[in-house]
Amino acid sequence: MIQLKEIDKYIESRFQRIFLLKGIHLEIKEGEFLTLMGPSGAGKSTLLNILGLLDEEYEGDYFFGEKNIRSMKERERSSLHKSEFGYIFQAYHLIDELTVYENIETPLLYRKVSSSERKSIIAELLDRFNMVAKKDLFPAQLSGGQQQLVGIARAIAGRPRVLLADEPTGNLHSAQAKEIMEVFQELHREGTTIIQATHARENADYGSRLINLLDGKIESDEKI
Amino acid sequence: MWKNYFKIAWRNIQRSKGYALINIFGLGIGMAASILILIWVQFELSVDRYHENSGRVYAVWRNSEMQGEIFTWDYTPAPYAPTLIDQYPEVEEVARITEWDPQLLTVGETSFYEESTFTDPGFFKMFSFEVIAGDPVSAMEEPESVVLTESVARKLFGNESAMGETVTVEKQMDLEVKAIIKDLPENTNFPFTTFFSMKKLDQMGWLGDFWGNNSMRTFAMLKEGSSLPDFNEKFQGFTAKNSEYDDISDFLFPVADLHLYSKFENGKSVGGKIELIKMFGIVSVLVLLIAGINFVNLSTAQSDKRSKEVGIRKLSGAGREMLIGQFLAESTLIAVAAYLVALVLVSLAFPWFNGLIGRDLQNPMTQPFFWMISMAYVLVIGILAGSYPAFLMSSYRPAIALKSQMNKSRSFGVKPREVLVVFQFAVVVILISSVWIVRDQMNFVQNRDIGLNKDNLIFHPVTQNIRNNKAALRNELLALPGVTSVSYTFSPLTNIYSDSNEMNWQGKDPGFKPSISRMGSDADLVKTAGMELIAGRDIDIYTYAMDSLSVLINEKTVAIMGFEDPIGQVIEDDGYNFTVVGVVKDFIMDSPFEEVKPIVVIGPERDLNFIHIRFADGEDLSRNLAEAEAVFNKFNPESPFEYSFVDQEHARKFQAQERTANLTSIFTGLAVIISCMGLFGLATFIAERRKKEISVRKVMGASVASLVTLVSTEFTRLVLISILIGIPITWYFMSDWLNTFAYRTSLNWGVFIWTGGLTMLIALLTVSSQAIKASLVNPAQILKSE
Repeated sequence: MIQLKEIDKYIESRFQRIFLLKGIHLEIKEGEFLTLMGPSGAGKSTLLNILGLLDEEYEGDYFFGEKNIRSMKERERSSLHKSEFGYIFQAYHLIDELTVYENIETPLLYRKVSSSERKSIIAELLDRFNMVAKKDLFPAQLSGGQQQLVGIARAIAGRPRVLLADEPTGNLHSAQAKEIMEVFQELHREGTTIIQATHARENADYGSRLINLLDGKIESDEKI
Repeated sequence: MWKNYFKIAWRNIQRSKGYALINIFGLGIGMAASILILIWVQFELSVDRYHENSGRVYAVWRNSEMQGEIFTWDYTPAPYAPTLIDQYPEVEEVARITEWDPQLLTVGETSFYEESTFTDPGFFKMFSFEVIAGDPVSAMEEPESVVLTESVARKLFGNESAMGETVTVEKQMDLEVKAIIKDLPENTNFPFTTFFSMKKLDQMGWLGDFWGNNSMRTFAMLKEGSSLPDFNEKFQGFTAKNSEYDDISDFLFPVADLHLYSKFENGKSVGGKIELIKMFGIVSVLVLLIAGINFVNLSTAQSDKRSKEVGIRKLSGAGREMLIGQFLAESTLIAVAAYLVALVLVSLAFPWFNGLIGRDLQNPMTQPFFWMISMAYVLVIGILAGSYPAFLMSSYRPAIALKSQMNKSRSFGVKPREVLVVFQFAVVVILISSVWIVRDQMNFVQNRDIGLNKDNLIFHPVTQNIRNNKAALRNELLALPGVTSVSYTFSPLTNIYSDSNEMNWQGKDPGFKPSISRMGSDADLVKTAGMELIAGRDIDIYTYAMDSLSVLINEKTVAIMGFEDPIGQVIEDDGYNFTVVGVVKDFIMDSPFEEVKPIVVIGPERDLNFIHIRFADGEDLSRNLAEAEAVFNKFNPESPFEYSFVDQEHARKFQAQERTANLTSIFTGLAVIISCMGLFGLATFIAERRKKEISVRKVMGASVASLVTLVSTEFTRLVLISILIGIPITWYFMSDWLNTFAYRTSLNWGVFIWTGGLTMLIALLTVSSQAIKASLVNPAQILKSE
C-alpha cells in the first residue's frame, strides 16, 4: 500500500548536511499496525510527517498504492490526503472553541458530507467511545484521555484507510494510555492501517510490526 | 459549513472580548464618521442637480479683463435675457432673478422680512420645485402676482387658504397670491421664499434697456440636443454685439456644476466647493483606514494563537480557499457588528452633525437605498480588512503550525504590522498638525484689526417710512441717553455692495483701472464705525451743506490713487466730482481673509439704505435696544424692528472656516481615539507575548522601570518614525492651503514640535499601562506554567 524508496531528508547547514532521515526503505501493507520507536531525534516524527503528506521536502520516492506521490498534482495529493489519512497528536490538538460534537464534525464538513449522514456518523462515534453525555462540552472541560478519544474519533470520522498517530499517549497516564491503545487495536482489527510513533515499548505490543529508528536510519524491523 | 464558520467566529469574539471590543468599536467609530461624511458629501453632490431639465439648464457667466487678470462673474443687465432668447434659436427658455435684501411682507397686522426675488415664468419651467396650489409659471406672467412657499403662506395667513389673498410688499405694492409651492429643498442654492413677477419691475419702469447695470442673474435652458461647446462658441460675443461693453465675453455654465465648481480663475472653472468635499472624502477614508488597520493588526497579532486551528483544519481536509472563506466570514461578522455600532452612533450624532455643518439633512436611514449601499459597504470593509489576515493565516503549513513555533523567531526585516502602525500615526500627526494650523490661521484672522469697532453697533434697513422721516428719526435716536452716534450708510459695515473700476482722479494713468469699493454716509461715520481719522474731517451733511459731494477715503485708496496730499483731491465717479475731505486708517468691510480694499465713502449723494446706531459702552444693551425700538416704532410703524449686530455679522464671515475647523478637529479626535485603541490592543498583546521574556529578565534583576522602557520603546520608535514622515507632508499641504489666503499666518516649527510631543505623549500613555502591567508580573508564576 505504501512504499518508500531511498528517502533522504536533511537540513542544509553552513558546512554540512545534517541528515534527519537517511536511506529509508519501507513497505507498509494494508491493515498493518506499525510502531515506530527510537530515542528523541531519531526521526520518528519526520518520517511520520512524510508518510502523512505533511512534509514534501525530501528526496526519494513515495508510492501510495500504484501512484508516485511526487508525480501527483497538488489537487490530487490534497484529495488523497483528505480521503485516506487520519491524524492523531500527542497534544490532541482539538479546536478549543468547538464542542466535542463540533470537533468531530469538522473533517466531515470539509468532506461535504450531508447533514443527516454527519449526524449518524458522529452519533455512532460518540456511542462507540462512550462520550454521548459529553458531546456539548468544550475540550478544556475534558480529561486528557477523553480529549484524545475525541481526537481519535475526529481522525476516524472520515473513515480514512491510514491512521497516523504521533505519540498518542505521550501526555496520558498509563490507564488512559491503555484505553487508547485498546481502541487502536480494535481499529486495527477492523482493517485500518495504523502507523504510530512512540517512546513506550508496551504500546508496540498492541501492534503487528515494530521498527526501531536511530539517527535517521532503520535499525531493526520485526514482526510481533 | 458557514454555520460552523460563524459559530467559531462568534466563540472567538467571546473568548477574546478585549480585542473584539477594540475591533468592533474602533471600526464602528470609523464607520460612523465615514457614514456621516458620506451623507454630507452625497448631499453636497445633489445640490441643484435633481431638476428635471438639469442637463440643459445653464447660468450665464461673463469674463472681463481688468489689470491683466480675467474676472468671472454672473451678473447681467435687465435686457440681457430677452435679447438672449431672441437671438439664439437654441435657447428654449430664459429666466432672470434678482438677489436683493429681504423684502417686507405685510398681511393685516402681520409683517416680516422674507428672502425674495423678482423672476420670469421660465424660472419655474427650468427648476422643478414642487407646486402645492396654483401655477407658478402662469403666475409669473402677470405683474400683480406673488408666489409663496408653504411656510411663508402659513406665517402670513395661518391655516387659512392663501390663494387669491393679497400681500403688501414694502408697504407699497399689493400683490395677489397666485400659487403656493413647497418650501425649497435644503439642497438648492436658491434661498428664496417669495417670488414676485419680473413683469412688475418692468411695469414700474425699472428694467429699461440699459446694459451697464448688472443687477440680476440670468439662467437659460437650451433645447434638447443642443451642444454646450457649440453654443458657447457663438455666444461669447453676445454682450459685445449688443452693447458698448466690448471687453466682456459671455458663456453658459451648467447649473448642475454651479454649487461645486463655480470658482473661476482666468475665465476657467478651477473647482470650488468640490475641493472641500474631496478633502473630507479623503479624511473619512483615512479614518476608516485607521480603523481597518487596527483590525488587521489585531488579527495578525493573534495569528499565533490561531495557527493551531489552521493546522488542524488543514489536516481535517480544509483547502486554503475554505480557510480564507472562514476568516473572511469572521471579519465580515465583525464588520456587521461594527456597523450596528456605527448606526447607533450615527443616529445619536445626526442632529448634532447637522448643526455642525449648518444644514438640515434628512436622516437617510428611512430610505431603502441607504440599506442597499450599507450592505455593499459592510461587505467591502469586512473583506478588505479581513483579506490580509485571511491570506496570511491560511498560508500556514500544518506541520509547522501545529508545532506552534510560529513567529517565535524574530525576523529583522520590517514587519507589515509596524508599517501599518507607522501609517496610522503618520496620519494622526498630519491631522493634528493640520488642525492646529487651521485653528492658528482662524485665530490670526479673527484677531485681525479690521479698523472698526464692532461692539455695541447695530444696523437696520432703511424702509420707505424711515426714508420719509430720516432727520427726525436720527434726532430722536441721538436724543436717547444710550445712543452715542447714528449714521445712515449705503451698505452695512460688514458688506461691500458696490465697486467700480471707472473712477477717475488727477494724475491717473488712463490704462490703470483698479477696482475701488464704494460706501456712503451722511455724517459721523468715523464715530459710529469706530474708525480712526488720520487727516481731515468726517463727512457731515448736517454741518456742511456741500458734503453730499464729499468723500472719506481709507489709506489704501490714498496709496492706490497715489495722493501726496489727499485732502482736497477730486475723485470722479459716475459723473459726479467728489472732494476728499478726510482720510481714515484702513478698515475692512468684506472678507477679513483678504487684502485690505480701497474704499471710498461717498457723501449722501449715494442711496443710504441702512442706518447704523452705536450704543454707549458698558450700559444695559437690552434697555438701549428697547428704547431704540420705541423710536423706530414711532417712525416706522407696523414694521418689525429687524436690526443686526455688526459683531455678529462679522463673526458670520468665519462660519465656513469655523465649520471646516470644527469638522476636521472632530475627525482628528476620532482618528486619535481609534489609533490609540489599536495601539492599546497591540501593547496588550505584545506584553502578553513577552511575558516570559520579561519574567526571565526580572529574575536576572531588571528593574520595573527598565522593563517598562523595554516594552514602550518598541512603540515609541514607530511613533517617532510617524512624526518624521508626517511633518514634511503636513508642511507641504498646509503651506499650499495657507497660500489660498491673502491674509495669513506663517507656518512655524512650534506647531510641529508640539504636535510631535503630543502624539508621543498620547502613544506613551496608551502603551505604558500595559507595559507597567507586564513589568509587575510575578515571574515565579509565569515561569512555572511554561
